[in-house]
Amino acid sequence: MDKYLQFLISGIALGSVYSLVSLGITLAFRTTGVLNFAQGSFVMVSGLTFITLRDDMPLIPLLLLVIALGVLLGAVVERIAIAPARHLTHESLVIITIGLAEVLRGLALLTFGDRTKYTDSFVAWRPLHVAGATVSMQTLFVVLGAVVAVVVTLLALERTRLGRALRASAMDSDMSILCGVSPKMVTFVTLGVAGGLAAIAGSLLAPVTGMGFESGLDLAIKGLFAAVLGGLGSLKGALWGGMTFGLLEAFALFAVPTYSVSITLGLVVLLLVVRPQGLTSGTGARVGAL
Amino acid sequence: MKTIVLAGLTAVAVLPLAACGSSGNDGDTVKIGVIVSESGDGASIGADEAKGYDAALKSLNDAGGIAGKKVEFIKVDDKSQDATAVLKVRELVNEEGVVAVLGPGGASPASAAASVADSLQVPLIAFPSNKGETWEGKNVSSWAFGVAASGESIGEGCLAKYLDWAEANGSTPASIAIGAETDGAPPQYASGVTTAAEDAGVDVLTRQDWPADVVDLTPQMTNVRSADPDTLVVSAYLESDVQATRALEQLDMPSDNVLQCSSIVLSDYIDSVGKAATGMKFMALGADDPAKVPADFPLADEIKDFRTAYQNVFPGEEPSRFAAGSYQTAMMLRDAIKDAGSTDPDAVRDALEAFDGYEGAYSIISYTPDRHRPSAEDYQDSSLLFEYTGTGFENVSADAK
Repeated sequence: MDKYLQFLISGIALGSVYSLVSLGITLAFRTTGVLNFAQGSFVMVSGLTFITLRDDMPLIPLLLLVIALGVLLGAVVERIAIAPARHLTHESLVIITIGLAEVLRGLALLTFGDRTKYTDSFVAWRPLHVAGATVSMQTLFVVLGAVVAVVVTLLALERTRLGRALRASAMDSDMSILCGVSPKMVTFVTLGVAGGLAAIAGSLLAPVTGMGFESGLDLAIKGLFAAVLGGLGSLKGALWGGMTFGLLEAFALFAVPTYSVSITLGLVVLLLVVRPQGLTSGTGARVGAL
Repeated sequence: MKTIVLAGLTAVAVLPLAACGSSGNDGDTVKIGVIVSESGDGASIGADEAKGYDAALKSLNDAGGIAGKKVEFIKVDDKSQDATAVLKVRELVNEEGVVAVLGPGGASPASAAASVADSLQVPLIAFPSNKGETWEGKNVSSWAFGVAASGESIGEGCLAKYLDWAEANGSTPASIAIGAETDGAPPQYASGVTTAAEDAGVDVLTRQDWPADVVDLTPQMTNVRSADPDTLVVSAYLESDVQATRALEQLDMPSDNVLQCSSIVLSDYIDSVGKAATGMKFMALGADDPAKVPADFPLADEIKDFRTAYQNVFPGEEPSRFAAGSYQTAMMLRDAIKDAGSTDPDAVRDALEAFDGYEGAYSIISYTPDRHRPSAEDYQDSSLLFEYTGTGFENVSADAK
């Protein structure tokens, strides 16, 4: 029994991180219609920055700095890569985000080197033992941190003027323009928020798995799968998709570790065959919705 | 007509002389081919190996060369690829006329090069010899010789060394669990560990496998915890080994009953996991940390000579095991030529195959006609058991006090 509880804990921790990545992808998709393949690279760069500065700064200021840098990264990427290409097709914008991911990968290699880097947990407290399973402090921080980030993001979208503007633009961009909402501002803010969410994910994940210049691609693929699994375009779906993906991955690692990636992605494909619209009905999950 | 015939006869006479190329043993120089990976996936290790060859070359020539002749290394890049390694062996032998080939430095290119060495009948000594049937068994290469033991021998020697230590400390384990990465050499190490466990009557309670790119090993370590072994043996490369260690830490499992039979550079591993490795035992060659080899260790003199030779060329720098391996290949060739009394390929090949208990900077070597690489016993005798104390490594080998 304790073994299965341990896998559940592992799955929830992984799922929390994937939910953050998937939420960033979904936010960008809702406002731009583009799947951002660079989201995983945002997480990777943030994680490596966190690790690099860990010994030089106290934890809270470091987290705030990394989040601020993440927001800045998302905003800069929007200005120099997405905004100038706004008139292009969605397919072209996707290619641009793939190129961005590669550029960030190369820059990370130059800046941080080719070795995976590691850092200690946020606090050096002993793990909790619950019903035969063990919950490390970092696992708790990952889950709590992800929950807080998601709740704050959803509340901001719901209760702030800016959040309402973003939602309006996502629902009907032409009408929102007529109401004075600037589409440029919407994209700028959305990608900034996506960068911030990625920074939180990277900082939470870095002490658990380490981070290397190659980590971005893996995270991007898993985040995209999670977003589609949850129902592409649905914010709630991003969360459900991320959590489900994390649990599936933990199950696969337990069952057949050598083929865990194939099994996880295979199960996701199977779920989508059974329910093509995703776990919640997303706005853009239908084939041919373009 | 007469002129044409004369010209033709002259051409026929001159052609063989032109086609000869240079001999590897011209006058005062002995030419030796050296294949390293200067580019491609193996470049970082290749860089270390190249330094070992540089140290060897200076050491050989400072001591008067081989058989009184100056040594010249013809160094080429195999780009970490089998096909290029094959081409380079041919070039070195057919165009440069080398007397022997050292390298390549990658396991797969080394196996590929060995088959060419057989067809060209030229001695080849490579550092990595853990892959394929080239180095041992019924398909063993006739002309290629390796410096590294097979993966199985390494694993076998690792657990055997640990059991010696455990017996000396009154803590012989009755059971072990094995955790192994599924890619590359670690599965072979794990297989050797299993063999050693069976030979010693130690139960293997569980074996947990994982792929190289795994991000979370808590499921596997949870299974290990459920099995409750006396010792956990880990065989992995650096990144997944770090993940395994972090999983142990997250699950609050002890580290002082962990034996690492892994392919890792100890300093890189400790940089990544820090105190989480406290109490762990590591199997390491003397060449992994030459400064810490005890004076009575069998290879102490060879390691000291190697370190001195290396620091003559690279002052203040500590050599890696890869540099020690490549350095040893050069010294082995020197000694084989000396034993053979010439650079005749057949004589050198026979002299190499006769090595029995040969002591080099990297390993002890005893070849047999069907095994052209060190045995498990050779590897065990070439190694030390270290324990990480939290601040450094302590040699705890039962036989090196």
